[in-house]
Amino acid sequence: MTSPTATAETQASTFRDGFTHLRDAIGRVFVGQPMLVDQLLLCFFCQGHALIEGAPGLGKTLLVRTLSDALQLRFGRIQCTPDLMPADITGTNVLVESADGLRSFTFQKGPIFANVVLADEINRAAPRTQAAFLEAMQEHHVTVFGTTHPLDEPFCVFATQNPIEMEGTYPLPEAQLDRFFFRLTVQMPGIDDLAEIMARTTGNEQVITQPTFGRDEVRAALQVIKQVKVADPVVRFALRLVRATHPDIDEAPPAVKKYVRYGASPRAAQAMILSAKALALLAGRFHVATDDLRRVALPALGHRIIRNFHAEMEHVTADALVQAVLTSVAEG
Amino acid sequence: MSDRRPPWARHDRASGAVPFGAVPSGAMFHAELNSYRRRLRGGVFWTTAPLLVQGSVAAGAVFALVVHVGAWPATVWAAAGGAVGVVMSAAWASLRTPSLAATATVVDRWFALEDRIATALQFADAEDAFSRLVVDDARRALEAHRHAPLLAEPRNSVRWLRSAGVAGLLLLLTVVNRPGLAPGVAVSAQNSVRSGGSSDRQMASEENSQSGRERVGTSATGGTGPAAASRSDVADPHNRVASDGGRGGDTRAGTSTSRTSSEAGGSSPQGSFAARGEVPASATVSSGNPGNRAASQGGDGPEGNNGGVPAAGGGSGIGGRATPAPSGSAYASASARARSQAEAAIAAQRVPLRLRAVVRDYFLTIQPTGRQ
Repeated sequence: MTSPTATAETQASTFRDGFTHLRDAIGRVFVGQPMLVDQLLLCFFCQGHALIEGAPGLGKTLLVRTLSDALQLRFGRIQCTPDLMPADITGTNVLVESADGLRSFTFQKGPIFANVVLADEINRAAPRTQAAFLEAMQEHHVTVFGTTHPLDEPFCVFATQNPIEMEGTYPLPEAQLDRFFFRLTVQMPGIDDLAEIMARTTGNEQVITQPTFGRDEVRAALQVIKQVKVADPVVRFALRLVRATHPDIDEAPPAVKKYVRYGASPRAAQAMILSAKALALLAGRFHVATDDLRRVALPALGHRIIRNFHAEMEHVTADALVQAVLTSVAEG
Repeated sequence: MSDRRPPWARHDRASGAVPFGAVPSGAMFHAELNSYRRRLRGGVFWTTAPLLVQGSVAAGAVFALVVHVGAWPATVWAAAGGAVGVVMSAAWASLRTPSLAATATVVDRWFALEDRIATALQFADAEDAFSRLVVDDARRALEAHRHAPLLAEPRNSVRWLRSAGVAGLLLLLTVVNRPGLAPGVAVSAQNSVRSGGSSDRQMASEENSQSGRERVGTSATGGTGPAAASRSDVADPHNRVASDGGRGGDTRAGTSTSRTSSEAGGSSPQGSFAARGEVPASATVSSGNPGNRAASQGGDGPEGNNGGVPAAGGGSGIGGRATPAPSGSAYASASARARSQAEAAIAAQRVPLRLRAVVRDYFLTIQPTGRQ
């Protein structure tokens, strides 16, 4: 008979192996930026949604596409445009005629009914279409014509947006930004990575990713992650970080008081703690350290800090404000 | 009868088996963490003890020097102070002992254990698998660092050697400076009185003279007897002690002079000047001369008592009282006589060159028609 501790260690080891396998699978297609890949996988295993930002051509779509290829899960892609309707995402009732001539309305599922959904260029969709994502992302179900349809589990939305070209776009409202577990930024690759990209994309070599990670493994991984222990001082450190992003709170650093209009919500603390648990497991620990929280603070807090006019005029980024918060908040 | 032992200790005596579910990791973790807590307490003690012991020994020594209590030697007081310091250090360390949670935080940070100990402390009593894994992991980490220094624990030998050195020095000072003797003054007084020679007197009189005016008198003195007395009289017409001493001590100041000289071992009136000069000279300079700044050594005289050397053993004489200054024609004649004698002394090269102007200024100042 296996002891509970041995079982837990096996589960943790399985999670680590699966994570490493996925990282390697993505690495065979998506070149470089290991931290970005790790954060995307953390987000996926924690069943969170990610907002991926980057200039055109940096591989945002490829990254998500590769992840979905490595998973034995349903993948849905939505290319957002200004004329995209909510029904195009959620699905709608269509009139169906049966063999005996009877006509009835049947719900036709939209692309949101998938395990991994790629919402490409989400800021090009109209606000009401963006709002259609809200219920799905938060509640994991959609309501069409008064009928609620649950979504499949696991369910993750990976949305991409181009932060440079803002003409003809509809910036995501704060409420929707807050639904995203992480905001990830795709950087310009270095010269070596670019050379590798050229070699892979301009030759005949085709990389086939074998899907190995199934629905049950993802669910089991999430269960293991949630069992990781967090001490009260560590939780309080995360909460102090979140509180320090609010300009009207005494603990906030001067930069936050000057440049922030509104700080992060409690969802930020949830995201930080859950992803820190996954990081701890990857590091071979069964408890969260404050350093884990520091490592995930940037993707978890950056998009939840609403800057004010002065920050935009002086080009003070949200990432710089998060760094100021990390510097000012002491452990303990 | 119920077994009062903790669950992890209730093993089968025959087989030695620990029952399932009674894994002692939590208790062992607590025990291990407590040992670190004791180390922290010891660290507080060893950090504060040297300072407190040194301070207490010093306080004991000072107490013995200043208060002169009973028949106990100063060493006993110093040792008692040291003991009090040790007790105070122990009490302080006990007060400052960190809690288990604080200990866990300190150990985590000191050994960079990534919050292992704090987490394990919180989940030490939980029964789920992850909690046990956390506790076991933390216990292993604690065991691994058991012999590593914690919080820069002080090197006791160095601290105590330093403390012993300071304490020894204080004790030495305590023993050397026995109660009742002010260092320096008393010793020089005793020596000069015992010797009674003119050179000693000269030295002592120079010691006694703190101002230029006084130095006129003392440098003019040089010896004992009537001549010395008269010279002193020249130096300061207000100095009734000097003049009276020359006349045999028949005034109040003279009384003080003879008393002082008798204390110092001198018996002749002629020797009183030397005695005045050597012994704190209360009689000599506290003679009520408002212009005599050197009267400082006069102890508790009501006037002219702001000198530099403590008036040990000589300050309480009658001569400490003020002598009324002469007035009218008597003052004028005394002043003129003294001035002429001073001029004679200057002419005879008995007044140092650098003081001649001072002497003349002095007599100009105290002349009856001038400003005083």
